[in-house]
Amino acid sequence: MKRLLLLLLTLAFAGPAWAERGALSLSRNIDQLTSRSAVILRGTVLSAHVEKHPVLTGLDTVVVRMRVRETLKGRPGATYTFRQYIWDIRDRFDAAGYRKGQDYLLMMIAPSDYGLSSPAGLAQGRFRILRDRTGKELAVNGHANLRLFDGVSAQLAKEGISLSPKSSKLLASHHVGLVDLRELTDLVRELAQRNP
Amino acid sequence: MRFVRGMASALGVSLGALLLPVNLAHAGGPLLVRDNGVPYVFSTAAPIPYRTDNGPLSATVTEATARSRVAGMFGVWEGVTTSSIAYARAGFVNATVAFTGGDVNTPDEFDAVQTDCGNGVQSPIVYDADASIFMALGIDETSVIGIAGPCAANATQFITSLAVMNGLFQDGAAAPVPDISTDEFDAALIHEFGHFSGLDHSQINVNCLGGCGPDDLTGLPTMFPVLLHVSQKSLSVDDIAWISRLYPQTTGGTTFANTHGTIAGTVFFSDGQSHAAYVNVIARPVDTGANQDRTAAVSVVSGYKFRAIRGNPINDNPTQFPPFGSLTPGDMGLFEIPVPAGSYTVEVESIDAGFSDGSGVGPVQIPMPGTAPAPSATIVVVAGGTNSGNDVTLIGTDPRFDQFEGP
Repeated sequence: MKRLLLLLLTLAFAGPAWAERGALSLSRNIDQLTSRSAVILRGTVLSAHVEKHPVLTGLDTVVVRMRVRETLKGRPGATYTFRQYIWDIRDRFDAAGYRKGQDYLLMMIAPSDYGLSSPAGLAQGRFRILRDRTGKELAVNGHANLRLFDGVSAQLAKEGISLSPKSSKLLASHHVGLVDLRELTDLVRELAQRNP
Repeated sequence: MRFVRGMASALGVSLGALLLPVNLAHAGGPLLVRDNGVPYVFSTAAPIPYRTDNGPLSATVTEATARSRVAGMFGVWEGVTTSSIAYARAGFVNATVAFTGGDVNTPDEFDAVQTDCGNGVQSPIVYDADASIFMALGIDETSVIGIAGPCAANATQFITSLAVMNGLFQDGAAAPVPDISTDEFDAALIHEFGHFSGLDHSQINVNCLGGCGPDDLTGLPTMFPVLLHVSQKSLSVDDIAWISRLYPQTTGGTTFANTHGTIAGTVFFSDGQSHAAYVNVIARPVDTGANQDRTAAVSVVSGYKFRAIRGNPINDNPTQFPPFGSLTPGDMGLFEIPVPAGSYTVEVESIDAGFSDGSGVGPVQIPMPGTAPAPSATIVVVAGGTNSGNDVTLIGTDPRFDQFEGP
């Protein structure tokens, strides 16, 4: 049995790879996502529409305009617009799932030379904001927040960095599923200070 | 093989108190369904032609090696004896007006090749050796291993698909991203080639997200939304059943019809009349004592061929509504599960809350209302037959507003 468990551990992915709409990405934790992002914001989708890229004219893109409610990293301004490449045939019909009025916490990588950008780790850096029946705001990314906090404490300890007690508790207690939005944004702010 | 006497997963119960918005993605089993309820597939009159990049996969993986590995990945799907799907390499990626041939390694060249794919001209497999294409496309090259999917279809069939592989994960360098193993990389792309061929995700043994035993790991489909284990490089019973259902082998000694049958039914709300769509339905084989086998299950989402409300409800472009899926009311809560002949129980569960947007399973993601009933009594399926009427009524769902909401 011990040998079997050892074999299973050996064969397990170092970090699980998540399938998205026609993509597979490796799991990244919140510290890695924060570092990888040029802009992190909480906002509401004002519009989302599909159109061809103005230069790479064979490529479909979705252009998303957000009203920024809170900035955690970068300087997105009061409204933030980004253009994301889409390759899946289904994305052409639902604007890659961005819906007017939907609240998101978005962790966006810097735009490329062609003005294209997307969330860090694709669905990993795209958190839907939900409310429970008490009105409490919760966040979940496209990977169910699985392994979102794995390895962060160890990395910070190695760097001699300590977080607030609340953030430390979040890192230690959460494994998968919805997370309190306020606790998440507080943590992201602290992490963003390391790599503004 | 270990058998477990088990109950249906209680997933979704903890989410019952949340007001989740409808989320949009597409179907478990087939990736896309026509308006007559028939899944989109490639023609099998000839092997599906694909073309490979005439450049290296990475700094350490040559074009010849990459070509061989790609053939092996397609070979995993082609090796299903009950399916007629076949692939054939038609050569290197074709030159186009803006691409003169050779290695596809600039954004302009990729644009030209993607345009060709969108026009139904060729199905390219692009090796992005240094991830410069991913970077130009604004895709996080430090985490995305590959992308794939159909890019052109006519009224009845897929015509072309596209795949792009990120060579940074196979270049032998620790930076900017450490490599993953060859098996891990290939497992990821075998999954992507499932999408390339028209398959969507399947949710089976979702408890593995929180850790699970060897039987449950064995039962994880290659098309599960998460690759948790290298064993997913090999196809599960679910993967085999669905690729065979989409591309049935009809000739020779081992055909789909003489090995597989179908379990069908409808999922209802508590009133027993209103169809409940987007509930995950799993058929698990059982022994004579009704003990479940966790290693071999097949699933589908109720309403898998019904048209999802996938358009943006407040869309800037009202023409952007999906043309996919039937509008037949009887399809709304319908499930049809292709299974090897044998004895099964059927259980239902919610699609996991984390399987949203691109990692979605089924036409939309909403938590299953109410509570799952216990697994069904044993259902016997004979090869070539359909065991229908295996309806499931959810427990404790909200009442209808009025009788006109019924199907």
